Amino acid sequence: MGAIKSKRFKKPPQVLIMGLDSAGKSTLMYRQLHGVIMQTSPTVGFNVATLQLNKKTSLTVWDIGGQDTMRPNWKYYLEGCKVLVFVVDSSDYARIGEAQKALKKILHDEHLKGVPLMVLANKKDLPNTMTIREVSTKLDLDTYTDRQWEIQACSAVKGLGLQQAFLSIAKLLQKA
Amino acid sequence: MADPEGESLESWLNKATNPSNRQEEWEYIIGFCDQINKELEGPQISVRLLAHKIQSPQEWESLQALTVLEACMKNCGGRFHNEVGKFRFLNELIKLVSPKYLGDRVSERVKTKVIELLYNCSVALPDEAKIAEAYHMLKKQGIVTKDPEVHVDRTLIPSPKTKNPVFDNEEKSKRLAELLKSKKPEDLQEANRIIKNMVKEDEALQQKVSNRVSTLEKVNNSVKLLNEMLSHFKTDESTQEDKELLKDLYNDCDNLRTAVFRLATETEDDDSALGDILHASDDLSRVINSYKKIVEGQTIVIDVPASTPSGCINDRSSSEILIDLADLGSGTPSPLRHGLTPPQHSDSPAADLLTLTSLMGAQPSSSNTSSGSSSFQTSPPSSQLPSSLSLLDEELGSFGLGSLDSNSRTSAEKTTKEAQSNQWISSQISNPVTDFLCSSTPLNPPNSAAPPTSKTTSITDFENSLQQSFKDLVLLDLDKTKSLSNYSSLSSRELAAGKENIHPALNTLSLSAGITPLPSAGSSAKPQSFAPDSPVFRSLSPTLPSSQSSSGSDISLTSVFVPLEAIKPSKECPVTAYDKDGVRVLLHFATDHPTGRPDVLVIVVSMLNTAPLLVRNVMLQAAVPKSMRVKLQPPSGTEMAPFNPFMPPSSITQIMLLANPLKEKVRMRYKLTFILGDQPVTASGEIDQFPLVEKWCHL
Repeated sequence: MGAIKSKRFKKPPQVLIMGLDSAGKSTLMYRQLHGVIMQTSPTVGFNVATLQLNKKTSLTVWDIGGQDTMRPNWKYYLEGCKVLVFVVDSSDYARIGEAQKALKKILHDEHLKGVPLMVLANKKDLPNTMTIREVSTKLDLDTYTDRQWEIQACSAVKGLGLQQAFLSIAKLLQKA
Repeated sequence: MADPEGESLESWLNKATNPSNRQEEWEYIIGFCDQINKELEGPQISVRLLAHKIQSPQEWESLQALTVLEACMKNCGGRFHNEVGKFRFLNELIKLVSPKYLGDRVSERVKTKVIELLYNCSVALPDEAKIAEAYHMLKKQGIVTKDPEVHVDRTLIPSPKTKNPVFDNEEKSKRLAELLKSKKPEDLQEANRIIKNMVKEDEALQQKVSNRVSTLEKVNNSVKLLNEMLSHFKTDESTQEDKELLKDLYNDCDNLRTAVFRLATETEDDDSALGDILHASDDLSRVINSYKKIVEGQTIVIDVPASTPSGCINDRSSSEILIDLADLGSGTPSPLRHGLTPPQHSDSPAADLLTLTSLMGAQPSSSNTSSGSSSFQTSPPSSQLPSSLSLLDEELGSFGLGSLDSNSRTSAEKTTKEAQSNQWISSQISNPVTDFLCSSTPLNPPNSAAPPTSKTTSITDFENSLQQSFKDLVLLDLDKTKSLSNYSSLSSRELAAGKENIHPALNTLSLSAGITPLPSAGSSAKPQSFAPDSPVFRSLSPTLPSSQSSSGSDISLTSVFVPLEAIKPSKECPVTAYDKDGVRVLLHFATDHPTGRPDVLVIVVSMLNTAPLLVRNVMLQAAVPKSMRVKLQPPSGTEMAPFNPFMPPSSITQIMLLANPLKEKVRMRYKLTFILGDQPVTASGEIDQFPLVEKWCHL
């Protein structure tokens, strides 16, 4: 588990990172947090860490286990969430439908009404991956007209696109 | 890229499986899946297109087609699963791996992928039974040697919609929600711990379910295989190896039944699973019963004609023989034990008579048992002598008359001793009869004497009898001088007491004989030939000379025959001789006696079968004291069909004739043997609930 650094003068906004198992959530979080690639095992439970984006901005980031047996617990993390980050494995054509259903179910929760959504199409370093447009279509993102949403490509293993993604997350927070 | 909406399934599939593709084109694969879901007959059309593509002579095209098939299984739902689960499509997959069809020309990569796909589908879609059937057929034929390893990523199972019992636990969920709101480090740690425990619990449950599914699958396979072999089984055509294989399969089913019972115990909270388990248990029971009926039943039938040379059948015959011997052995102690416990130290005349009857009843039983279990029919085994001597010791302490009978029984010349004994009794009977009539009449037997002379004669006969017994003991090589001395002294002291005991008994007998014509009473005491039909005496007759008998007054039942039609039942209640395991034996008493034989009681033995099994090889034997005779006429049959509630119970009828000229109390021992289903049964017992002898002429 990550250490928690609490700010005395202001509570950092909460960011939830969710997605199917093996999408790359924990790798992405450690990469952004420590700048190194960690060999991760499937997360049982959750990881919590405070992420310092810059001198003025910090985030409390929750990395939540994505195995199907733990998905019933996802609803307990949603209260107080400011931005939902949904990580998708862009090379997993076979399970994109499953990811679409999971995302839809989360966004129906009362606690996430109006909460901005950031979709990260991960594993873009691999050959034969879906384009951002394809991922967007498969996840039916156009139907979420009641909230702000963005989609970006990234590669947690390569570290590509992560900083840009989190800066975009910060912007979404300001708009909210 | 262009994504025309109206593109056909065929064009999607052609692009998805294009041999010129350098990698799997998931854009086209997903497009094909979406098109299947859009079109009304998408599944039907697509499986036909796929059946053609997977058999492409180009390996890469075939592999891509299999990838498309796998993607469709994941994304196109139940309608597509139904189409794939039909033999029309499955046979096209089987052709790729079977050497009879395309198997020899298809690359290993394609065949491996087909087998993996079939296995994954059979696990993920248990409702599509034909997929599992096809896969197991390939295993049976040796095309598949072992189940392929399945990576978690590649399972076809979509995320389950069913409730999760571990994570739906309300109490834990509330606790978890509270901890996650708290944001305190220690609360978050506990929350993580709770989630980890939930996951472990869930894994354990999944393991149980997996084990149950696996066991039920084994049950179905074993039942199906054994049923198939039984349907082709023919006793005369099957080899020893076939029978052994059937036996192994039967044993597997028997073991699986135990496993299924254990599953039922562990799965008491899941009604649906419990139903499956009970269904499997029923299937196992049916196939096990089929095996017993078809295989073991056939073997038993063949066992009847003993000419079959098969080793198994011979073993069965030997086993049955051993069972019979064991039963006989266990029956031996009963009559001796009974014989060793007559009442003693009683001065009542009635008690004395009972003692005599008891002794006489015990000895024939012992003899009968010995004859049945020994190959030396004409002499008892050595183990019987100590028992006989023991009887001697006990009876000598009782009274003199008893010692007379005991001594005579150990003699090989029983006829001579009985003749003397009967002669002595006859003299005593004549004396009081003469007194009663108060005059001598021409009807008296020639050997009858005057009262004073009669007493002297009886004493002389008694002493001669004892001396003869002593000589016989010496002949038996019993080198016990003291014993002989004891016998002599006992005899001397008990002589007067013996007289005293005999006198009241004789009075009773004379009163009974008063109503009988004198010539008949006199001649009945003469030595008689033994009836050969009696099992008690059959074995002894070769060694005993047959005495002359008076014509018209023979005790033998040889010439007496009573047809069933001539018998009228009496008012006497029937006696139940045997009633066990659904087989019952009753004795009914007739009203009339055979013509010219008022001393004979006619009995109808009735056997009934109320068991749901066949009863066959029925045989009844009977034995009575020496002063009586018993004859069993041939039975109406030796088999009784299994009981059927819509038909009257099957029965066997046998007529028994019982001669009791001396009108003594009747005790009869019987032995009954039969085969109930597969089980040989031997029963023996004693019957003494006969009508009073005085009533035999008018029951």
